[in-house]
Amino acid sequence: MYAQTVLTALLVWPALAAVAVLAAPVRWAKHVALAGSLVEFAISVPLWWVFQPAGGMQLQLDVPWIPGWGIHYAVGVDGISLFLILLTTFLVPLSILGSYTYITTRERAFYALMLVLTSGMIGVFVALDLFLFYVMWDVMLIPMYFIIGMWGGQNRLYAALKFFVYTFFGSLLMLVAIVALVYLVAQRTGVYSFSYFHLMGNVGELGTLAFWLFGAFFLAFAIKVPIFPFHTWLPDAHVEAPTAGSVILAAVLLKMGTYGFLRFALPLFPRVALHPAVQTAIVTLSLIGIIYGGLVAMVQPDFKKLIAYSSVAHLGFVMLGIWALTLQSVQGALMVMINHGISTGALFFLVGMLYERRHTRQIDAFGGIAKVVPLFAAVLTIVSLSSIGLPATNGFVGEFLVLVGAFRTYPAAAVIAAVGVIVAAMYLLPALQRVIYNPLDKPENARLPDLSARELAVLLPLVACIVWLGVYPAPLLRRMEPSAQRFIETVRPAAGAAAAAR
Amino acid sequence: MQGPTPVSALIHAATMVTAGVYLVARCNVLFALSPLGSATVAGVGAVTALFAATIALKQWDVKRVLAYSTISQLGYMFLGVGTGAYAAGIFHLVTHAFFKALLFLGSGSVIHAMHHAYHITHAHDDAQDMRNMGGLQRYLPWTATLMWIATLAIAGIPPLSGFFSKDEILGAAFALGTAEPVWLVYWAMGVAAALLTAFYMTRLMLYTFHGPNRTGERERAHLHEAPWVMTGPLVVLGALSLAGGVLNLPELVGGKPWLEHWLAPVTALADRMRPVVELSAAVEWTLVGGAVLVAALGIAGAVRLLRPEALVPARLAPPETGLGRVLWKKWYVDEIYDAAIVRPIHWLAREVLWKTIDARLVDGLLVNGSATAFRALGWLGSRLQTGEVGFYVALFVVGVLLVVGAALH
Repeated sequence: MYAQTVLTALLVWPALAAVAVLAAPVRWAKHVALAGSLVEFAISVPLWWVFQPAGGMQLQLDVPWIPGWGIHYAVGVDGISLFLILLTTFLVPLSILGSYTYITTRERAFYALMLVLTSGMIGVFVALDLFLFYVMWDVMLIPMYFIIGMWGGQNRLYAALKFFVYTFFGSLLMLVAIVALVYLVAQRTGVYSFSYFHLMGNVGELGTLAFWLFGAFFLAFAIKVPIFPFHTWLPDAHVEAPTAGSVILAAVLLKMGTYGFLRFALPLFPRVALHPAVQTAIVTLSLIGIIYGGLVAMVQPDFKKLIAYSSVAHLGFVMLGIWALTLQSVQGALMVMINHGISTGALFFLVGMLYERRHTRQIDAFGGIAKVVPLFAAVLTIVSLSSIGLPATNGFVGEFLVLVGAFRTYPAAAVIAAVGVIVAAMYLLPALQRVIYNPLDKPENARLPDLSARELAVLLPLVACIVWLGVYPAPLLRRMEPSAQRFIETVRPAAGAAAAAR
Repeated sequence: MQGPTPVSALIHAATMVTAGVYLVARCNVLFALSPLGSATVAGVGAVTALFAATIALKQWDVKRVLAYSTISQLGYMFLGVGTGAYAAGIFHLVTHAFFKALLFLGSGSVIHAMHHAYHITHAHDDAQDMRNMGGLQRYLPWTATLMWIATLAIAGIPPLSGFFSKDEILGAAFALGTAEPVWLVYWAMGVAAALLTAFYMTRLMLYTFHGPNRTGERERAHLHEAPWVMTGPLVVLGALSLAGGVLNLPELVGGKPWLEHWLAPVTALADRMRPVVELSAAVEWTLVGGAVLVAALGIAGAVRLLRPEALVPARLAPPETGLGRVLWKKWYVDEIYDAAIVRPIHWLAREVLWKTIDARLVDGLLVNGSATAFRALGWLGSRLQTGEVGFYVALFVVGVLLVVGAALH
């Protein structure tokens, strides 16, 4: 019973909860939303045990949706998507709880949109039908557009429009590619289907067309990740979005891009993806992202923008790990995806808490506040160290695996990426110093209230994850490994055949 | 060095900074396989020993002298492990931990007293500046005595612990020098650094504990020795600084090199790879005598050349000039790094990467530029919608002519 329905329940429940939020009295809206998201989390928790690491794609459900067009409602989960689902259901309640005092206008709409967004995100990670995937990909776009545009900062309309148009541009290209792919496969097999497995099994040799199809998928995902030079929507969207929006954007939405590469772009078009020229280009762009993102983050006067640019650097590690195509590097990429969600999510929460107190995010507006808000300072320090990737924090595990794994495939790239770890210390440690250490020279900061119980309830689960995954990541790695292995086995032979054909 | 004094004692003396020495010794086989790599380690060590010692000559902050002294002594350890004398390097690591922890904790006792005195009188003078000290021996007799033991140990006066460990490193470098002259250069740099070590440590002691007191009239009454809970550990470290040499007494003086035997299994493979040079007892005795002479010369030179009674408190002191200023400014290493690395990277990141490439090129020209281009296209299209029938007819005719022309063609 649970196995058959859990994914559908995860997909549908938030949407139902959103309706309940809309129907509830305004002052109850946030509590209803929190309860709804906690139920969602509770539904997802047993996945941890129900999931069979060696079982491949599982908990599947496949029912015809629009049979005439070969469209099914098909969902499933494997070791790649499992933790992204758990990350989503884990972070949504925290984001809602973290918005309790931040969001003061149109609360019902805000919390309903957060829940609809949850449905969209889960949908993206469980979809095994490319049409369903595309629909979910766009479903989550709309609530995020409104969240940025209605509850964002000064420049919210510009940021929301830029986010929407940029992402939508990519997703339309992807739609074209999906339709073309379905058509091409139908020509060969006579079966008109959007099913992931049908397409995977029959995609065959597409010649130069594969290049164009991969290109369309690549653009859609690259914008989402984002890969340099498609990243400039991100600082705007992150900075303007309300805290919960920034957290979800960084923690989950960016991962859809890298998830797309792992699930679709590489398995469907391995020969293009691993063509030496494409490989070189993508690895180079990942490295640019790591170094360039870090250096640009270093000179940001706005703390939130600094964190936004740091995402570009972190996601560069993920891309490098995926393309290096060794078991360690792919598992490392998956770990970085999770860790970035936890650490950067926590950083956005912390900056949001600063903003609620001082209504500024300028690093120079603070200084010495460790004396005033010791709890806040302690949490910010732990989270920053984890984002830098210090051993015994989660950040280290992922980056280390990526570097070790990538060294076997691209030694030079791994060396350059390792420099990126130093750059991370260069942007976060000085920022940390300027915010919580240094002399307390601004009278406005002398009476800041420390973290409230609610804020601690938001942050402590994240800190717990930071330590847990930093010290004992084995339970995650064990569940990821067979799927990562399968991913490599799917992609590499095809690429090897391409190399042999040359 | 900016850390609390017990932390300084721990990280500077015993553990953290010596991790590099430990790692080279631990990976001894790898280094032994690469004679060039080992020679590089030794060369870096020799240069560090001398370079940091020159800086320590002109520092006024008592903990800063000790910090540069630590760097210098780490240079010796690297010279040792680079030479292949892994046991000697580790030996110096251990004895250095004894006397440098003693020096740091002793300086902490001094600073504690100074701080206390200034605190009571609400003075804002620097409690760590030696120019504000002087004559403290009268107020802190235990600290003074114990720090003198450590000073003689680090200077290399027999039979204190530092003498044996430093001598073993220099002896090993000299022995290799009989085959390859470059090692003689390293050895000479080590000897020169030993001279400076004796000099700057004596300077520290003279300025802190001897001569007239410069703390201030009112403050003087409040200067006193730290409680036993602070001086107790100093006594322990003093005993170890005195007698730590027994860990590895050279056979030359009829001792048992216990530490070397203890480490022999670890370094056995590496030991077989390096050339064995046996110095004659006469040469060894000459080296030992020379080393003692150099140490004594450094101490005597400092006593003779320095004038503690001519010092004035820090806030009245004239600025440093000439070479003294260069040394006081630590050869401008921080400034050079700042100008050559930190600032260029910040400039590159801010002006080129962020403001030019990110804001102007990618976001401005490409992203917003394409948005503007589409808006312009829309504007052009809207211009065609004039609402005048005549214009539409004219366009229609042009269109028909084009179609017909294309068909005939």
